[in-house]
Amino acid sequence: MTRTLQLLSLFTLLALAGCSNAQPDPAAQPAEVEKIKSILTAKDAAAANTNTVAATGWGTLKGKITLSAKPTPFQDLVCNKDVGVCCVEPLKDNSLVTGSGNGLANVFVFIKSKGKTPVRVHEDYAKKEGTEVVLDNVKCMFTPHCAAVWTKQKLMLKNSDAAGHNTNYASPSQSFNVLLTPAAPPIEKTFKAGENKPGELSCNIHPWMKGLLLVRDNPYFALTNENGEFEIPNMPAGEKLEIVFWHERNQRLTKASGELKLNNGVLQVTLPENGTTEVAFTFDPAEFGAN
Amino acid sequence: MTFRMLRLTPLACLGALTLLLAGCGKPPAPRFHLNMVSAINAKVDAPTQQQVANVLEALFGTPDQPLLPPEVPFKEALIARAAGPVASDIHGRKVGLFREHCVHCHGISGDGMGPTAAFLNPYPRDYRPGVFKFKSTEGTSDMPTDADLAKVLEEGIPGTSMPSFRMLAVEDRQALVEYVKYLSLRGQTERKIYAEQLITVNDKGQLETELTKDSLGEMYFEAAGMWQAAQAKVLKPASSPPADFLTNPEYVEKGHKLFFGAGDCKKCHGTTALGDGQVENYDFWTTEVNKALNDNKDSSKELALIQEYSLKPRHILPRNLRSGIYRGGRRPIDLYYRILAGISGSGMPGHANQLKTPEEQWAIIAYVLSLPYDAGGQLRFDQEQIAPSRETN
Repeated sequence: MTRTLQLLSLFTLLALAGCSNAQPDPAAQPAEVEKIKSILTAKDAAAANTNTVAATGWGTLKGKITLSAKPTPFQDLVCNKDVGVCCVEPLKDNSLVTGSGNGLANVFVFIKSKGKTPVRVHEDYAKKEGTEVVLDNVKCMFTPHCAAVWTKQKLMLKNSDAAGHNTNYASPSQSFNVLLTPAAPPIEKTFKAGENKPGELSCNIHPWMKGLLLVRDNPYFALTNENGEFEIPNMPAGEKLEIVFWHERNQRLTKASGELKLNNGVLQVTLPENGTTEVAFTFDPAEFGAN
Repeated sequence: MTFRMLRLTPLACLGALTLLLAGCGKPPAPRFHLNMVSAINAKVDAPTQQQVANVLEALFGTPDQPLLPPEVPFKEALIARAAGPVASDIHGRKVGLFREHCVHCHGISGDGMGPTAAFLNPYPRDYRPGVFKFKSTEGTSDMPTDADLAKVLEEGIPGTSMPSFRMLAVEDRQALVEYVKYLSLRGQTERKIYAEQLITVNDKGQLETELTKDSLGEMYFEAAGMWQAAQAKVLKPASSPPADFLTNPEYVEKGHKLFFGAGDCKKCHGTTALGDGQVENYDFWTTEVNKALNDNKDSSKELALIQEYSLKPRHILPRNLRSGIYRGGRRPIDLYYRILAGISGSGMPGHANQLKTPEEQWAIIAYVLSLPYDAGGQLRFDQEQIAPSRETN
C-alpha cells in the first residue's frame, strides 16, 4: 500500500511540476493592471488639494532608541590587507553599536519626502549651508561609520591612513567610486538630489570596510548617538510629517514595543508649535540579527 | 507486491501520463519576473509584491506586448521589433530579436539569468539595476550612451562569453540597444519602488498608496531622465595624446611611476599587474545577493527563493593587465574611460583626482598598454615594491 501511495504521490508531483509555473514571484492580475493603465491614460483632472499647507510654526523632535537587552558583540572583522596599517588592533564589527542603557547608535532619522513638495526650512539652518561633513578613513574603517549630508553641504572624503583606500558609494542616481591615496588632499563631493534611503559605502581594497551615507535635500535628519538619542530642532510644526527610522541591520525599524507604532519604519506626527515632542522606541536585539 | 497493486500500477501510470500530456496544454505566455533578491533585501511582503507586479505591468507591459510609460522618450518602434516571439514581418525583417539572440543568457526579464547563464564565467549582465561597466560617461551612476551599448553589440566583450553581433543589420542592433534600455528602465523602476517603498498595502493586502499619474511618474522619471542625460555626460579628454605616445619611452616610464605611485594600481592589479592584488571582492550585483543570503541564512524558505532567483556568488577579479585582453575595448580612449571614470559596479574607482594632467593620463595608458609586450626577465615592475608589499598584503 505504501508503494502505491509513493508511486501515486510521485506521479502527482510530476504532473504538478510539469504544469505549474514554478516561479513563486506573483504574476500581474489583468483586471488590476487595466485599472492602473486607465489612471495613466486619463485626462489630467483638476489639480486637487494643492496649497493646503498654511502652517508657519516650528517644533522640535527629540527621541531615544533603545534595545531591550544588551546584544552579544559580533565577531571581529577579518583583517588581511595592509596588515601593518589596518590590523594593528582588532577590527570591531560596528554594524550594531549600543551605549549606556542599551541606547542604539547610528539610527538614521529623517523626514520622508512626498513627491516634489519641498519641506519648509527654518532660517536657522542657513548657517549649515556650505558646511563640511567629513568622511574619513581611519585605521581602515570608515569614520564615522554612518554619515548624513544635506545637498547644501559638502562631503569631504579624507584618508588619514598610510594605506590607499577607495570610497565606493552605491546609490541609484548619485553613486561614485573614488580613489584616496595616502596623504592626498581631501576630495570634495556635492549632491544634486536627496535620497530616501541611506546608500552603502564600501572600500574595494579592504572588503571588510562598510559604511552608510544618507543624502537629503532638507536639513531635517539626525543620527542617534551612542546613547540612542537624537534631536532635530526647528521642524515644520502644525503639519503632518512622516519620520523614517532606519538602521543598517534592520533597515526601516518596525517592531517597536511600546505605545508608539512605526508603520514600515515610518512615524506619523504633527508637531506642536514651539513645543518639543519626545518619542521613545525599544526593540528586541533579535530584530538586528543579534542575541 | 500484492495482486491488487499489480493491477493498480499501470492504471496509475496511465493516469499520470494523461495528466502530463493533457494537463499543460499551451505553455503560458512568457512574463517578466520580479527582482526577488531586491524585494527580499527591502523586506517587501507578498501582497506588496503582487501590487508591484501589477504596477510594473501597467507601466511596461509584457515581454510580448511591451509598453512605455508616459513621457519616456525611448523609441517604441525599435522596442517592438526586439520584443515578442521570433518571427518575420511582411518585409521579411526579423522581429523578436531579443528572444532570438539574447534571452538564453540575459533572461526574459534582463536579469542575466537565462538558461545558459549559470555555465558562463563571468555571468551575463543583469540589466535591472541600470549599472553598465563599459561606457564613456563620467559618473559611476551615469547611464551608458546608445553608442556605448551599440559598441558592445558590435564588438562583443573580449574575454567573456558575449559575442560580437556584427552579423546583424545596424538597425537590428539599434533595436536591441533600445530594448536593453527598456528592460533596464523597468528594473530600475522596480528597484526604486522597493528602496523607497513607493507602494504600500494595508493589512488586507489592498493598496494603501494612492496611484496617480504623479505617484506613478515618481517611480520612473528619475531613471528615464538619467538615460536622457547620458549623452551630455560623455567624458572628453582635454587633449589628444601625441601620435607616438604608446612607443615613447618617456610616457611609458612616467606611467610606470604612476602605476605604483599616485594611481595606486598595484593595490588591486598586483605588483606584477597579473590581477592578483585583490581577489576577495564581490561586484555590485553579487554584493546584493550576498546580503540577501546572509540576512536570511536562518530561513530556509527565503533562502530557497533567493537561490532560485540568483546565481551562485563568485568573486570579481581585477583584470590581469598582462594578458592583452581588454573587455571594454583596447583603444587608448577605451582605457581612458575605464581609468578616469572607473568601472561601474566592479570596484574599480575613478582616478580623475589622481591623474590630473593629460600627460599623466596618457602616460598611464601607455604603460598599461605596454604590459602585455613586456619581455620575460625585463618586467617593468619596481623590484623594490615587491618585498614590502608581500609582507603587508
